[in-house]
Amino acid sequence: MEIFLNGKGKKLNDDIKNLEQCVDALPGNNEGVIVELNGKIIKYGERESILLKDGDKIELIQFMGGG
Amino acid sequence: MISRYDKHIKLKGFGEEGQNALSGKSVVIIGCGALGTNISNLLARAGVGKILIVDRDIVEIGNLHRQVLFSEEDIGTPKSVTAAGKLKKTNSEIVIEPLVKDIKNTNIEGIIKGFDLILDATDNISTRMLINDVSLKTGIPWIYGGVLGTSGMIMNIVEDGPCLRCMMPEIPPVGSVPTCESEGVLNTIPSVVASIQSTEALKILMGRDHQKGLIRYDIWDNNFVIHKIDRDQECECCGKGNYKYLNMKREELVTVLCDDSIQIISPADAEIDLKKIAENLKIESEILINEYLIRFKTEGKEVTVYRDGRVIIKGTEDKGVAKSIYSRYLG
Repeated sequence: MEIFLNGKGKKLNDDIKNLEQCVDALPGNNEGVIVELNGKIIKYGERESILLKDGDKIELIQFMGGG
Repeated sequence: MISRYDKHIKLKGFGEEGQNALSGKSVVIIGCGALGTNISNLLARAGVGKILIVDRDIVEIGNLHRQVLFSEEDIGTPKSVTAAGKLKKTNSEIVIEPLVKDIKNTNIEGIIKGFDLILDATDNISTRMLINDVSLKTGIPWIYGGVLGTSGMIMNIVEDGPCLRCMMPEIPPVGSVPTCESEGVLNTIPSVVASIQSTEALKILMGRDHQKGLIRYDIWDNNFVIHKIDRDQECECCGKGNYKYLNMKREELVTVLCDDSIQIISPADAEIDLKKIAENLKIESEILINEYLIRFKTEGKEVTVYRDGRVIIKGTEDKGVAKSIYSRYLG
């Protein structure tokens, strides 16, 4: 399956089926990121239940804490 | 004669009605750094009737590149007092009050009581979670604002809308979120974020339509995005009314701050005797003591003890190291 991650095409391994698995498989520490799928921020608890499909657009949004 | 607010009154959709509405409203600005100085400057000039500026820190040389109300002569002075003093000279027709205090779960409800709106200008996630809890509990809306690197984010958190915990249910683990210390901050981004927060504040205070969703802007790439976000009916905070950060035990309030430092809240609520603490310190380094704080260096860390019992240990992001120094020197 191929998705768009932060605007760039990315091929996912066959064992990645849902959004939670996808975020966990990405490099780096993504515990503090906000996840947007196809233009809408996805609630934390819903990531596992959302099955990905070809062409999905995922944005990882870094929380900003400086002031 | 041209009035102070002439250009606002001429503005379509603002008018005398909008200007008069502002004069009867009040805001509390939590934090007086880059965002807080810009927000308080804009809202004071706009004629918001009452402004409370809350900040725990003093002005340092490293603040001057982005914190617009401070000058070199202000170094060592409490930020909220200095900012309020300057803004009183800018607009004497409104009430501007400083409060040198750390926001914590035991005092936040008393501080924000009676205000119409809370503006977030803090530098850490823990305080934002606390603001989120108290906002939902009291029904006073708040406006989140944050900066990092060349980017910033803004979100209005109002009744019936999504809250901060709808998109970030818990405080992320220490070290998992980049900080201003690791990424730096371009000095042009805070004023943009503060301007958006202030504009949203004016809209909310005047009862006008305001922006929904999470606003994200990168000033280097000029990339402006508004992300849609729905309220989570299962959200522990706005969905279920579980105000865990407001109800948290005080001894848990050890916070990693933005500038390679850790804050530890004293378990005692009363103000402390700084002179007595200074006399009891058994250290070789020079001790700075004034009306507001004691500062000394030990083990390569800078320790600042404030009158309200708050301690900031600069030079570490390790809570264990900070707690160890705290307990060694301050019990």
